[in-house]
Amino acid sequence: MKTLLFWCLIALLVGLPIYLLYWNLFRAALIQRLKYRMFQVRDDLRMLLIAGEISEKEKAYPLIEKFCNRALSKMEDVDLTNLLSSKLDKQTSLEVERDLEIIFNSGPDMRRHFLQIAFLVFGAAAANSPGVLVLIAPVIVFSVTALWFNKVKLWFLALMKKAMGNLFLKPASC
Amino acid sequence: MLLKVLATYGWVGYPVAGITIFVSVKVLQWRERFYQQEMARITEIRNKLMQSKLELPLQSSVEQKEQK
Repeated sequence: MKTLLFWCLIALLVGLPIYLLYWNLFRAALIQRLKYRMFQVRDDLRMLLIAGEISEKEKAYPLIEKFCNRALSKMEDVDLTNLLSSKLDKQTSLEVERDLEIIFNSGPDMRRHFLQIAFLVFGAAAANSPGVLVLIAPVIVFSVTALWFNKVKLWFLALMKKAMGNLFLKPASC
Repeated sequence: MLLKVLATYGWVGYPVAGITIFVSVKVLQWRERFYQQEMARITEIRNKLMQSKLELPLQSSVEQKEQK
């Protein structure tokens, strides 16, 4: 018992600098990096519009621009529990479905930019919740390797829908 | 017990502190590098936009002179 306590205290002392380093330095730098990537995606999108490669009547453009701005404002404190825990109401769920349909029926450039934004948001959420990530990482690895891919893909799509609704559209999160 | 912990950490603490400082320096270097990259990207975009803004009236005035 004493040996266990001894090693627990040593692990605590060794873990403390790692904890402080992660939350005070690495996470801040990582979020900054993700923000810069998001600015780049938004600038690319605007340049496409200026160059005329995207029509001004493109329905997906304002949606993606809105998602991008919303993600930028929430990036500092969004985490996986925020994104995935609360249930969506019927109206938000329908809005998400409609918006996703508009985006996925638009041109390849728009889809690519939207997926980049989605990955950046999930990256920020993962950076802000390393504990949850460590807990669910084995589940994700198991799902991808043991279950068939289509089911995992559908599961990820459902998670993405939920995350979009919680982050971008839910009136309570405004 | 606590004395033993402190004594052990006295030895373990040196490599931990060394690794922590090394990682901190690396993170700071990385942050500085991507900050410089971002500044370069912004400057490039600004130059591109300014150039296109400045070129349009100049070209049109040249074209006007040529037309005259």
